Amino acid sequence: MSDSSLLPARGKSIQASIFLTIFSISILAVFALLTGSFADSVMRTFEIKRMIGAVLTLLYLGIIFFLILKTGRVSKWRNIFFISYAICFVISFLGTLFEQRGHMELLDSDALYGEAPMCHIVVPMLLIPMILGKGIIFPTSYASVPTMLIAVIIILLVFGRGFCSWVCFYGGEETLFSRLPGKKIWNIRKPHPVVKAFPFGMLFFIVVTSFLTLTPVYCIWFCPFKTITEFFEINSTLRIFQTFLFAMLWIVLVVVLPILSKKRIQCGLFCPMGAFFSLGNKISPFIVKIDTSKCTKCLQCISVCPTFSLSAKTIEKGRTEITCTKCGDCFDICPAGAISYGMKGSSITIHNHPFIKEGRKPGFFRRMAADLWEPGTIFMFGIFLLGSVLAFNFFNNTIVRILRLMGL
Amino acid sequence: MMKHLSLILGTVLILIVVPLAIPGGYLLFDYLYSTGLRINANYTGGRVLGEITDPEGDVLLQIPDSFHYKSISNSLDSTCFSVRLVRFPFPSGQGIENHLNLVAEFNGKFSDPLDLHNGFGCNVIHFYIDSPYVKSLKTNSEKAAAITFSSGSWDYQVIVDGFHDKARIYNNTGNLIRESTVYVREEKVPAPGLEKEKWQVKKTSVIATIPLSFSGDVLKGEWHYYALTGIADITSLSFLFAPDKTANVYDAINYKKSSDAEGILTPLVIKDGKMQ
Repeated sequence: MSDSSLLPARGKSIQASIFLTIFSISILAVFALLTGSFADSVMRTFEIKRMIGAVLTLLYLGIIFFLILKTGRVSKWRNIFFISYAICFVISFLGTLFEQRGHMELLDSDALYGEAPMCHIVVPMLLIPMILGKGIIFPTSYASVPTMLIAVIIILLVFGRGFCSWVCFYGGEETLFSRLPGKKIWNIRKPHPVVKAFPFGMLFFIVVTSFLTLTPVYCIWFCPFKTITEFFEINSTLRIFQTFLFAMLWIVLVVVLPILSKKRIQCGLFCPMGAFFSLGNKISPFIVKIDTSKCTKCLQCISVCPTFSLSAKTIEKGRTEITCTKCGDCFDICPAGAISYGMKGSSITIHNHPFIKEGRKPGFFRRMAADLWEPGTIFMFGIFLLGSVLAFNFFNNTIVRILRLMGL
Repeated sequence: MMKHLSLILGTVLILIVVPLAIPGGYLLFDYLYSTGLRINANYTGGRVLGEITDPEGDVLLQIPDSFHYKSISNSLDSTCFSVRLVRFPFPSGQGIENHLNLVAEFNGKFSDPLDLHNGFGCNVIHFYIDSPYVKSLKTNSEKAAAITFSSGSWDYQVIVDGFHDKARIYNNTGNLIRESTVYVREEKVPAPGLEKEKWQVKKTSVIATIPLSFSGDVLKGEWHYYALTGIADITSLSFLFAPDKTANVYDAINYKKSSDAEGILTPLVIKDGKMQ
């Protein structure tokens, strides 16, 4: 068995980090050229700004991934990626909306025509009416439904709630506000169990009511992110009330409470999609492991966990709660290095790897192999690549807009 | 070996299963479509109360000889007229009113030389409604040009053209009484010989919505509906070209048949929610 003192406390070897970065960026470049709007624009016209944007995006993502691997500071570099991803999503989405429509409103005619862009949060509401009634209750283009369905199902089964801290283009907004400089004014260490269970109740509520009314209830009434994407045209008293409601939810849950508490309140205590992906944590092979023999019970991990997924009880059991988003914030804060990614049914971690022989400093290739073939690397490779594939067009689009603004 | 097993499984998941998401989307698309799964009827047009089709084309329609009009024949020759009821379940909070859809369908893509908002610039569509709730004045409006209505009257005239975002509803004394949502839907199919992303427009539908709060309960009483297509003319009140008794630039699929057309427009009759 390995001797963890022979390995650096954090981070992968330089050879493994370089190899994996080049590998993942190459795959990302192929994906970008084969699918999505970048591929379409390259096929139609060769625009130099788009090519510059693509190169800068690949470079940026490559550097971020390399730093995650090499420094082992998952939280720091992931958060930078996650926040920039959310900002670029908003710039890109709103920029495109204003170009096409000139406003943020989804007109009734657009809804009746089926032009509303679909996001992952719609999926739980679609499932029962789809199976029982052969109807898709969201006014979107038919082509986007199967792609979104299969993506959500694969993410649910493979990564569980890892989606919420690596791939979700909304989550970065809250992370941004919760990371703004300033003192933590509201210290929430342990929310009441009923409050913690609220997202599951919300999930149940929207699934049932969407089935009963055959309309996407969450999108119509509760989605806070409509505030910075698009919303139904305000043409009646009902719509005024709905608009007020989701704008208030965004201000309170995404901006004010995260600033005050330094936590992701919307993700942790409200989002029904988070609850849906939490169910996937039961199936996903990737977990966050706590080495109880190393843990000093300082409980700093509880105070930094953004989604209230750690408690003294779960730490004793060596695991996180079902709502864990696998963000890695607790890895960075743990002074004993007791927390790492692991895999269900396996005791292998980077600190406990069969490729590393006890008492012997590993050679170049043995170290690289151990770094590459361990649960944390496999998880981060998969989920960062997935996040990058989704983020690529948003980054690229934003860079193109900035270049245009600069008059280039 | 057991401690390696989950790691092997995880590697396979990441390297093989996850990349399958993209081709998997195409496969799932074909499968779901074959099962009959569709976007909810509430959004895509509603329950059909009645429809008349004319897929073979209407011999009555004579496009003016000028070459300007030859290329827009699809835009003028409607192939189907239907009346559909859209009701959102209560209480959905949808915000879109329950309404009647008046749908005129055309083959292929509309000609849109002016690149107008609704995607059509050459033609104009008139719908006429004879409501049992309105005491009709029994007058034919001059806006309807040479067309004679078999029932002798209409109560509401709904004008849809590419120059306005909304459908405009007039009463039969010529007053604009309301605007309503209009939308243009293009049904696309994969173009033969091209890869899947390339689609071509097979059918274009122009849909004017009439809120039930305005029309009253359309499932009660006898309702008459008419559809008429003509060439757009912004100098005319009706937006219909040639309001000078030249009926041959109009297309109305609910003419009885070519032999007894003579400018008589017969309605789509729906009595107590059933087509007659």
